Amino acid sequence: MKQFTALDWDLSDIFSGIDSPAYIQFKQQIGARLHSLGQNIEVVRAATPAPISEWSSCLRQLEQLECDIDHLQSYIICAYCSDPAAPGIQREYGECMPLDAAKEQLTGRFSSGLSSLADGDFDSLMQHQKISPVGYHIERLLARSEQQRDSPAYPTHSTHSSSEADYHKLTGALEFEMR
Amino acid sequence: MYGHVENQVRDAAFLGVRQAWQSIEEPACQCINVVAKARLSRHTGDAPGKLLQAALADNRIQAETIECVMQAVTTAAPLLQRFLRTKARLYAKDLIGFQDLSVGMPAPHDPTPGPACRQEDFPALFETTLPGVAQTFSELLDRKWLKLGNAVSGNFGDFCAPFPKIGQCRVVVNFSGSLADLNTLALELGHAYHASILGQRRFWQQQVPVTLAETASTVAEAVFRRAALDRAQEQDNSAWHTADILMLELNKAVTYLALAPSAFVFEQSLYRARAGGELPVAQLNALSRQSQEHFFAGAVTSEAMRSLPGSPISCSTSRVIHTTISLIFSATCCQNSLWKCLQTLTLPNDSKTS
Repeated sequence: MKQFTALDWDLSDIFSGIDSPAYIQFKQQIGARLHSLGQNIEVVRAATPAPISEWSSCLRQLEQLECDIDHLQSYIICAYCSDPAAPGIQREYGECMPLDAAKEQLTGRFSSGLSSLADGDFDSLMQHQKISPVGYHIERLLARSEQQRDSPAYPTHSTHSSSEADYHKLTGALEFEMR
Repeated sequence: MYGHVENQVRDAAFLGVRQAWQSIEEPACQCINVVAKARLSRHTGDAPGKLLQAALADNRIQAETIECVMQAVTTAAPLLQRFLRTKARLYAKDLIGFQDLSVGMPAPHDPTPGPACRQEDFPALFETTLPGVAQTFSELLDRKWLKLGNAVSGNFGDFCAPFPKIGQCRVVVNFSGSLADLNTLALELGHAYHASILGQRRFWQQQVPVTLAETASTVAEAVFRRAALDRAQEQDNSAWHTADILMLELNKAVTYLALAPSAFVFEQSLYRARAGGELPVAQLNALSRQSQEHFFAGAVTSEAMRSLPGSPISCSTSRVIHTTISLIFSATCCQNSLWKCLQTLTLPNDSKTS
C-alpha cells in the first residue's frame, strides 16, 4: 500500500477551545437571544395591524440565531473529532441540544404566527426587501408547519424537571451517537 | 476496518461492533422508541404516512418517484445478490457478510498494490472536469481545513462541517489511502465545493433540500471514479486496478440499491409498528432483519444481518432520495454507470476471478 500524507486541521480561527471566553460568551449570548426573541415574537404576533417591519426584523434575528447555532454545533463536532477524549466535550454537545430544541420551538411559533397573518399582510412581508431573498425558505417553513402540530414545549432554561432533563440527556446522547 | 483485505480482520470488527450494540441494546431500544414516538406525535394523528409526506414535501420529491425508485431497486435485487455471491467466492466465503460489503478486490499478490491514484493527484484529476472542486481541495490544504487520518473522527464518520457564519468549512475523512477512502474524500470535496458557493449567500438561502445538497457530492465522487479508471489503464497491474475501481462502483451500488432502501423499509415498518405501542428489543431486531432480507436474501449470511439498525432512523428517507439522485445521475450522465458495472463485473457462476 502506498503511503498517504496524514493531515490535521486548524480550528483556532473559529474558537480556541470549549473553555475559551469567546466560546463561552458566544454560547451564552445564543441562550439570551433565544429568550429575548421568544418574547419579541409574542409581542409582534399579538399586534394589530401586523407590523411588517417588526416581523421582518424578527425573522432576520431568527435567521441569524439559526446560523449561530449551526456555527456552534459544527465547532463542537469538529472539536470532538480533534480530541474525542477532551474533558467536557461530550457534555458540551449534550448542552447544545436544549439550544437546538429551543430554536425548534421558536421556529414553530414563528410558523404559526406567519400562518395566521392575513393574506395581504403576508404578501407585504414576503415582498419586504430583507425577506424576499429568503422567500423559498419561509415557504418550506410554512409547509412543514402545516404538516405538524405545534412543537412540544421543550424547556430551554433551568426550570425543567428532572425527567425532562433526563429526556434531553437521552435524546442528546442518542443524536450525538447517531451523528 | 470493513475495508481491510483480510477476512479475519473484517470478521473480528463485525463481531466487535455487534457485541457493542448488544451491550447497549436496551437503552438503544428505548431511545428509538422515544424518538419514533416523538416524531409520530408531531404529525397529526400518529399517522406514519405523514412522516414520509413531510420528508417528500420538504425535498420536492413526489411519492410516485420514491415508489418508482423502490420498484427499480427491488427489481435489481437479484442482480445485486448474484454479485454478492460472486464476491463471496472471491473472498473464499460461502456467503458474504455485512462486514464484506465495502471491501475492494482481493489483491493479486502480497503486498496489496496501492490504488491507482493518491490524494496528491486530486487537483489533476478534477481540474478539467470540475475545476471548482480542484480549487476547493487546494484551499482546504492551504488553509488547513482538512483532516485526514486513521479513525480521526470517532463516532462521526466522514463529513464536511459548514461554518456559514464565517463562510468556511472543515472536512474530515477517515483515511488510510485506499481507493474507497479516496472516493470518500472526493465525495466530501463535492460537499465542500458546494458549501463554498453557498457560503456567499444568506443563511436561509444556504438551507437547500437534500436533493440538491447531495448532488454536488454524488457528481464529485462519480467524476473521481471515472478519472481513477483512466489512471488505472496506465498502471502496472492495470487489470486489477480496473477491477478494483469497478468493484468500488458495485460496492456503491450495494449502498444505494440495497442498504439505503433496506433502511427505508425498516423506518417505514418501525413507524407503523410503533404507532401501535412500545416495541421491545426482539421486535426491533426482527423488523431490522426483515428489511435487510428483503434486499439481501440468500446473498448475505443471516448471522451477519444487523440486529439493531446500524443506520440512524430519520436518515433513510434522505438516503432513498439520495439513491434517486444517484440513479438519475448514473442513468443520464455517467458513462461508467452502476448498471454498466453490474453487467461488467457480475461474473459467471463458476468464475473465481476476472
